Amino acid sequence: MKPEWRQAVRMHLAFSLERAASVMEADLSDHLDPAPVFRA
Amino acid sequence: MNAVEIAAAVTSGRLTATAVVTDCLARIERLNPVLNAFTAVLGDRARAQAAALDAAGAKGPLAGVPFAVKNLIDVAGLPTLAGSKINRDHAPAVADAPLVARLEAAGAILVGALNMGEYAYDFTGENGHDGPSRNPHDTSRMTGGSSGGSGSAVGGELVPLALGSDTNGSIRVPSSFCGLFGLKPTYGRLTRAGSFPFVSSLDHLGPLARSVADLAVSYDAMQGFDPADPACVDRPADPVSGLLDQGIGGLRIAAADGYFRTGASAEALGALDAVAKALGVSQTATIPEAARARSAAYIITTAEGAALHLDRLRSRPDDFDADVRDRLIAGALVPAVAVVQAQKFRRWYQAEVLRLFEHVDAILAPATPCVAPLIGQKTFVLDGKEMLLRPNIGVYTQPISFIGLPVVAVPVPTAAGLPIGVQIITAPWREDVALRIARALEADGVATAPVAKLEG
Repeated sequence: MKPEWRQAVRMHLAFSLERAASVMEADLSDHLDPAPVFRA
Repeated sequence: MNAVEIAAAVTSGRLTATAVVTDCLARIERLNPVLNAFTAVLGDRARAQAAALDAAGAKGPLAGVPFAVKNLIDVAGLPTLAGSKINRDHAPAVADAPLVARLEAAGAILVGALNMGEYAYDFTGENGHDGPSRNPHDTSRMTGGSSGGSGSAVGGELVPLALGSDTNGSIRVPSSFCGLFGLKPTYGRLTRAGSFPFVSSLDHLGPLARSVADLAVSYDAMQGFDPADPACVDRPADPVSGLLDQGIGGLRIAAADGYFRTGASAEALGALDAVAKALGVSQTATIPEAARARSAAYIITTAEGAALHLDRLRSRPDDFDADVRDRLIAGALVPAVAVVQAQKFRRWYQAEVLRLFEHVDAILAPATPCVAPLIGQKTFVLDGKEMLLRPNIGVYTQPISFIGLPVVAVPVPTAAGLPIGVQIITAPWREDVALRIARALEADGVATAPVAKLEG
């Protein structure tokens, strides 16, 4: 990564990690199946 | 003329397909320098197709209808750019994507490929390589993206019909900003074979048009199982064109509250309220945990998108649009545990939202929080806070596509003079209900595709 990209990447990563923190706070069952192959 | 009017005129012999295509190509030549909607115009192919159609006696529900496709959809003889510089080095596609072939089988005529945000990671319609597609209602403003060229071309009446893709809102956002009807079908309904992916577990293809009938006719032409797309569901087609004028009597419609009324501009809320009033809607529905759903969609998108492009990020980082590259690099750094948790949350959220549809047939929500921003604008105010524009235009679309629900975006005029969209969201496989409601709004004049005043 070029040094001049770092500030923007850091900003986007901070935004992503805020979203990730919100997701990690969800209280979900241990038995819930992740949905990588999704069906509507 | 819209698509069904063209098809009726061509089928009846009042117009030839050749005349329609000649007019269409002339309009593209005149206005594309203003709108920057097309990245390739297929004049020879379109003229040959039109001549063949006329010679054979034009038939089909889309007879003689010109259409164009977002340039992530394969067109024989063109490299499938997906809005990128890197894909320009790819060999040309050897065949048209199945959706192109299905539209042509219905009589439609492909006239070109359309500009888009790079690799579809975009809500603006800006492209660092091809330049921004421009909003036909104010060319200083964004089209929305990533199907920006699709919005611009149909909004500017260069073509009556275009295909776009929608991973997190990329059909519904340009429909909103450019004043169009857009259909994001149920996940798995339309084949994505022959299209360049972004986030396979969220990607959809669908049409943008200027009338509900055009959406319905094109959607019917494109339905059908295709084993070449592993997500495409093997179920019978559900034609909708004949159902549009059944009315909305007996349908239970609610307006989304909570998250979907938070942060929206006066224009977005005004459009939602106008639609709800026209439909006689007094019921509200709370989509549970929509903010977290949006977060989970964001995490899956950025991580899956980064995984898709990681080799290219390593080998050719300077050839990316900087806005896209920086977000993808950040996506590669998101912890895997968050991605897995997001996928688990998706299961929980899907079950909760489907429960809502035991009590309602459709839910209304804003499509975008605001009307089209200015091209080049980097931030906007959402819920009282200044935020980055690019990742946040889809705040109201992401929680819906996250679980694959079908949505019709309808255009509503605003006092500001620019259109804005409202989403009509239904249970999986009930595109017919969303289209019937859209048709009722169109018949009432509440939802209408405005005519752009363009000079070229």
